Amino acid sequence: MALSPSLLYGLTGLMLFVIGLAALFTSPQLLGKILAVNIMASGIFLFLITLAHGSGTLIDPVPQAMVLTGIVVSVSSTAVALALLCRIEAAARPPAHLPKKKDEARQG
Amino acid sequence: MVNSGRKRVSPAHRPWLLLVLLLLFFAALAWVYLVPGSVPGGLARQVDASLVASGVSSRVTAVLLNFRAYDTLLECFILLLGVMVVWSLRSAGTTEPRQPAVGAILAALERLLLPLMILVAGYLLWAGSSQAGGAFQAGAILGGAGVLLLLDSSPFLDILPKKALVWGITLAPLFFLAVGVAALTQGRPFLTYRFQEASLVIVALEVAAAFSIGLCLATLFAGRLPEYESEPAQDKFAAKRGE
Amino acid sequence: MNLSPDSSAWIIWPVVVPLLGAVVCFLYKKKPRLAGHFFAVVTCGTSTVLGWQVLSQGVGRHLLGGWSPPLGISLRADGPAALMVMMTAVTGLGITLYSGGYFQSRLAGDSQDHRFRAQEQSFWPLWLLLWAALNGLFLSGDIFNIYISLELVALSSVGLTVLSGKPPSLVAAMRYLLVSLLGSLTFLLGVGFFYKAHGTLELAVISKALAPTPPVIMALALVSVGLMLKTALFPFHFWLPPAHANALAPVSAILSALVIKGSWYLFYRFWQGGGLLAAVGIVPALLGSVAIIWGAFQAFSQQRLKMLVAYSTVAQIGYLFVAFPLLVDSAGQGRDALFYFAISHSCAKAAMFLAAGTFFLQLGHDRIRDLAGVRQLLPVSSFAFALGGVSLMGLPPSGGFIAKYLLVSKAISQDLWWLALIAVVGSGLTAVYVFRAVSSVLSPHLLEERPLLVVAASMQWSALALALLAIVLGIMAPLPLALLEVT
Repeated sequence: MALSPSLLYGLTGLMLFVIGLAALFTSPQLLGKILAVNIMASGIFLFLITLAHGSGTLIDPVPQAMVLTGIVVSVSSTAVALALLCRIEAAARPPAHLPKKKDEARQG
Repeated sequence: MVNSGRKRVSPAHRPWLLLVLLLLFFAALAWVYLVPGSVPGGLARQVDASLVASGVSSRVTAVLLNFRAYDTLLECFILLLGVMVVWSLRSAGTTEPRQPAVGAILAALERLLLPLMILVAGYLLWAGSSQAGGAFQAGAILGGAGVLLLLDSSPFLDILPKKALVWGITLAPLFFLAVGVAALTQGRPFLTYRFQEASLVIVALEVAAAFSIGLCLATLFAGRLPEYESEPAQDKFAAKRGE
Repeated sequence: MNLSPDSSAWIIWPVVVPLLGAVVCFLYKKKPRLAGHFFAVVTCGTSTVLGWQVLSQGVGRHLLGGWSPPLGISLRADGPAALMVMMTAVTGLGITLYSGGYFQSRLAGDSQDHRFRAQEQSFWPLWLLLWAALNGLFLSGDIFNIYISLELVALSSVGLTVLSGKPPSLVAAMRYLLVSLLGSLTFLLGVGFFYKAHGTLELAVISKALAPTPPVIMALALVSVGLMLKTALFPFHFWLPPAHANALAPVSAILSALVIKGSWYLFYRFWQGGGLLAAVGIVPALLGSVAIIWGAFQAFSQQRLKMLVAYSTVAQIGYLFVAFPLLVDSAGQGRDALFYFAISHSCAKAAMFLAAGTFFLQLGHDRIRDLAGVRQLLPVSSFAFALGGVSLMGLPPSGGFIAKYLLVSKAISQDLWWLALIAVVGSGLTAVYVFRAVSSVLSPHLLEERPLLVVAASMQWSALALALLAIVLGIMAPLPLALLEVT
């Protein structure tokens, strides 16, 4: 079977999904895990796009619409994850913030 | 929690095991993807057959805003939900002041790009009904323009009246619901457009969606409530009271 | 336009009303509690209409946009879907009434605190959006639309989990979010493979045509693993106890009673066709069996009441999966057992979490050994907690008893003795940890601590109403079972 560009993209997408999965399991940092999830999502989108070219000349717009919707969903969940990460970081080290405030007060 | 570390610790200790497992997983995925089977051919034909009735000539736009408009409605709600959660996370007064780090390059870039971005967004919106483009692309570019402004520490989210910001964010979800319910009250299924009005409704929905998406993206990037909303820090009491 | 005659408008209202409610609560910040109650009651009403219509007129379909599948998206209300919508409505109404009292009590205790006000302002829109997403999930007939609904459920659940703001709940919410995203993405990849294999996104077509070809098996495996992650079936349960136990009281109830049922219900939807069930239905059953035993042991060894109740959820999720091999033949008793577990667990677990939350609010802690005497302070809540425990154990005449009776008799009739044995052993183990908690709650010890604040009556009575419903479900069993027959 000839490896058409479309198939190559599909395989790349699946590979990205698996790479993201590996990073999600092994990354020690939360930010790394969030990025890993993003890579997985990108891989799936690439895979879905190739489905649009599945049948001959007609390009199927439904997978394209699915990807557009999926991207927005992924943006929203990433934003929530990053905001949550900031909040965890802020809650994890209050001592680091306190002296800073004192310094600022002195300067002011 | 005895069991909580299980999933994390073991792969870290045995990276080769994880590697082998994931390679096997990839091999399975790739094999299934490449295995020749009966190809049903997707929905391209159905979309083409109904394209005339949809009110737009772009097939992706027809899918997004007519055939599968309910997906798009829920998607607008996901963006709204993202803003809600991010705001609720930041409402406890943990925002750190932004450093005003405006370089000359950024300022110049902004002057050049902002009008262009708004123009391109408008064009994409207009092009969306017949070719590639549409509400999401336009919204993304508008969001990008907002991000550029925020990078410049331009407080446009703070200057904007609170009411305007909140209504702008909820514009697309509300408009979608209104269109859907209007169809229901006239005895048609949810989100059904009359043929003669379809193009107009779709364009209006696209404009609203692009606007709200752009605003949501910029707000998500800012990641905080506008300044006037932040309450004085009351966390000391809160922490003591538990829950 | 493909206007179809079978487009019943009553199907869409249980989704539209809470969506609108969420936006209104988001915009109208002055009295979110009032708006929240109003939209919760209306949602409950529209859900009841849906249940009644399905019961009297049979399966309903709503073709969104007037396009019939596979081009468009359809909503489909059959018996199981209607039962889940009704379960969400009833449990949701109880939780809503409790939440009103909960925020009222906390604000009355410390009216200066902006934090509680902000919590309440965020709670109502998130809760209504979650409700809408769950209803959308139960009714949706399109697998990509289900993916979006799943994400809506996940993000709003995470938003609700972080409301408490305590560091443990933040970390738990982060883990919950990551697991949820992993589950959704796995599900989405499965959706992609289904689309490749079938060329359609319609759930009814896909679940009927589960042929054992490689793409379909891969798709089903991906979808199932994604949904098991989200339902926290053993061994994917690790994220659930901290997330559920560290949330605000009403949020714990929402997560444990309702949210996990969403992904579990989808699991049922994908497998209900039965094609592959005979071959691999044993896998969810085995995982469920381990969950029942493991969850019970973990629950028993907890020091905090809310952690105990959360681990009990891990164990009860096991029951939601053990009956899957029984779905193979079409007599429907296996399905009845599954759904009876779901609805009685929903009422009982909501009651227990709400009562535990009331104890926490009143005492400032939920250490099990220091709870003695709480029944003098909160007699109604204590009674509700005990009644919820009765239903979990499966004592007659509770809903839990009917579920276990259906399960055991069906398992024996199919010569699956080990399954019946697991169910009975699980009941015994449940009794052990429930007794441990209940004996502490009901012990006649005098409490020295003074209550922290006055608890609103609605907090106590809403929990009791749900607990009583969990019991009454055993007596009124014919009604839900008749609804389930509509397919």
